[in-house]
Amino acid sequence: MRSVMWLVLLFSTLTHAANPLQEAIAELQPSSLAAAEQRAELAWFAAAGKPFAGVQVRVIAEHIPTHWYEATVLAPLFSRLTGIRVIHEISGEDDVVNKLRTQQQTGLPLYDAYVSDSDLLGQHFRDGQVLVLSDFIAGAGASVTSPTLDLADFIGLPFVTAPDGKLYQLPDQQFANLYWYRQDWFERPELRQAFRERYGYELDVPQNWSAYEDIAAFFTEQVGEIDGQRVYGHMDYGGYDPSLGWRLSDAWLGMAGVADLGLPNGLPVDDWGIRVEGCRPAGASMARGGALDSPAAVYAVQQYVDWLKRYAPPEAQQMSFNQAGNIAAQGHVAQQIFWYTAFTADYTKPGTPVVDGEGKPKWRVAPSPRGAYWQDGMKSGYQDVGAWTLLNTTPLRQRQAAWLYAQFVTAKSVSLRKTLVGLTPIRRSDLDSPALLAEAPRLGGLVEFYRSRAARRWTPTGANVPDYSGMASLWWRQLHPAISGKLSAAQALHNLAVAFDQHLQVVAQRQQNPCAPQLNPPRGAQYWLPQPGAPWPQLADERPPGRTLKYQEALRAWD
Amino acid sequence: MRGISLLLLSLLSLPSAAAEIELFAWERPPLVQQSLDGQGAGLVPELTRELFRRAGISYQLSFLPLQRALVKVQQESNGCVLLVERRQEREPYYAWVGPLLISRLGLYAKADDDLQLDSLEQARGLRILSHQGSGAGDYLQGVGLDVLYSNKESLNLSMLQRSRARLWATSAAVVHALGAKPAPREVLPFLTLMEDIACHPQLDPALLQRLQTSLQQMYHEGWVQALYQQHGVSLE
Repeated sequence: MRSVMWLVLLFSTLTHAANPLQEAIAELQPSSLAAAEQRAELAWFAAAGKPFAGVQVRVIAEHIPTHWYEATVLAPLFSRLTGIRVIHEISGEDDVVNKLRTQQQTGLPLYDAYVSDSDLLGQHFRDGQVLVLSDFIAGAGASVTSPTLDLADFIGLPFVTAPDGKLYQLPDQQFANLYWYRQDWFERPELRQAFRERYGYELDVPQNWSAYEDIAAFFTEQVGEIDGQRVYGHMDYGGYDPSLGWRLSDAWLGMAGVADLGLPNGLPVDDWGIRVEGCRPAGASMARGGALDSPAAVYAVQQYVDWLKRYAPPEAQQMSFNQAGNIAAQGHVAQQIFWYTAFTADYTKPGTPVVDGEGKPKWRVAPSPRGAYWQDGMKSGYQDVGAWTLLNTTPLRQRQAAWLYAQFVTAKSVSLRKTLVGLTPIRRSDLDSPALLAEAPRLGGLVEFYRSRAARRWTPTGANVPDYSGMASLWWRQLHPAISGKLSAAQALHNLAVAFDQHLQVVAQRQQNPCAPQLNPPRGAQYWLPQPGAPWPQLADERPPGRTLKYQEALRAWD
Repeated sequence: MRGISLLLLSLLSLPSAAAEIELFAWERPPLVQQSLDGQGAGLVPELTRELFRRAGISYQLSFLPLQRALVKVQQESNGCVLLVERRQEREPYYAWVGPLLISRLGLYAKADDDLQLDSLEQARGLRILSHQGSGAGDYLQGVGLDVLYSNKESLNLSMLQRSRARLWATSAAVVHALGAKPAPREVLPFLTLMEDIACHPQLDPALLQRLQTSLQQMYHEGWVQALYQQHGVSLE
């Protein structure tokens, strides 16, 4: 079978009469490298790939523009350059996680590499199934590691480095969760005046959830219609789907202020409400010192449900992540408290309702407003990287060939062009490049965010979650009843916290690692609530006065 | 005493009677077929037999078209469909045991067609044949490609040979089983598909767990991999 494929590849190479190196250079413009440096780097890939000519590698990634570009342009380019055939599959994010778990559980050789979120890092370093890249680079991968890899240039490297100090994944694309709003609407004098008269402060970037709620109510209930179109003051999603879990676990609890202070995640309690003792997960329920059913968590989920029902387009209650992703780009939404920058490409398409006649966005991104329990020193938002993840059980030759491809699609020769297509930057050298700076006005603040020091305060799930692929489904299964009205937010979170504790107990029996879970004995919420830190006791007032800042002032959080 | 023993015996047998699962299969030669006596034949029914035997759960197998099978499972709390592609959009609506079948799918062209593809993007504008329910067609349609469905792979092969479409999305096992000479040629591998038993969401979780644990064990022993080999199914 492989020899047939190789013949096909050979024929394909012949029909692309151009020199593959020339072809790659022509496609991969602009580059952060000088022409000679780019040529040398690509020539290294061609030479390093030669011993693997005819090898076929299978990789899988989620369905976003960055990976579609890799699958349709970069994979064929790499194949022509090196002779290694890449089958780059694109799939739903939940499917990527399921397939990774299946390969780990069955030992079947499904893929040679996965692009999977760094949210799984806590599982990877405890399970011992994922290839430790730093060891591989120093060992069996040394001969196939590019001399120009320059790990320090990756802005997301801390997200893929485990508490043991080792590198487990290589960033491929990076995205953040930011506040998104229609700047053109916020600048309209008649709307500004109406908002000021009703709420007593300016219609600008909300700094707390009270202001966000006021603005949501203003557009959905008071304004109602702009230029003949029904408009809404909020966008979210609440369908019974695995992605509902990401909605809640990525952003709501963290920005409500559920966790302890500390970066990259609260310590000892993180924004999943999991307490760690040392590096051992010790429980998620308040009974065991966690915060998943704490007053701050109840406040977070209650706000999420209330706003989804009152202020978002009605169909949003049934939508999933992918269905909701580009809804605000249709031009009838005023703001979105948590907006994934992975969708930027959809929001900058010329001719769409959120782009003006000169191709510039009518929207801006800014730091998301904070909930009542949020305190200075907590993370300021959610950010993650989709990262190359290889498994120990993959045969060495396949691993080496897949590692070459992973480096190629993230190489300096490639990454600036890929960033301009998919708008998911990974390298500091790209962010400093004149080409990306020239694009900045077209991207609504995205480049300014990534060039700021804020990157350290927007963080992923973190390493406290010892079994992300097993626990992620608990979120949406246990919390959807709070959306459908079958349970209150407090009841649903109680069930989730109990399910988390039970799951941690099971994982504790499976994992042979000094950082495996070890549950605290149940002592009751009344023991933990008076202790310093999370779980935080209920505030007397969860709705302080609304506060907004002008856009430029709001961006100072990124300084 | 004897009466009491019989009573005990009948009481003990109750859980097993209640545990019987209605398994609705749909035909997909050569991997799932209905034999002349109405039983299941092929890789998947064989695997299923061993799986349920190990789990100690009885089942009743019947064949239905896929859409009817899916409707039945929504209605019957002890019903399951053999097999359904497990993917994110379907995840909440069933309880899953799997994967039972992992397929490598590719785009195939007529043997004498010199078409070459480097990516799915290059298939834009070409008509692609797919078996209804296999998951391949939904996937290709989802990325904006032109898909034509049928309920029989043999019909797809015939349409490909009569140039009614330029491409056919299927697996090597199906191509091999249909035995066309010369055989259609794979021009682009594009998807690895995992298919599970999809059950009513309220099916007893303990039963599901027993089935899943047994399946895990069969993978660890290499039992499933050996069966794949017997049937010429490869993950190459």
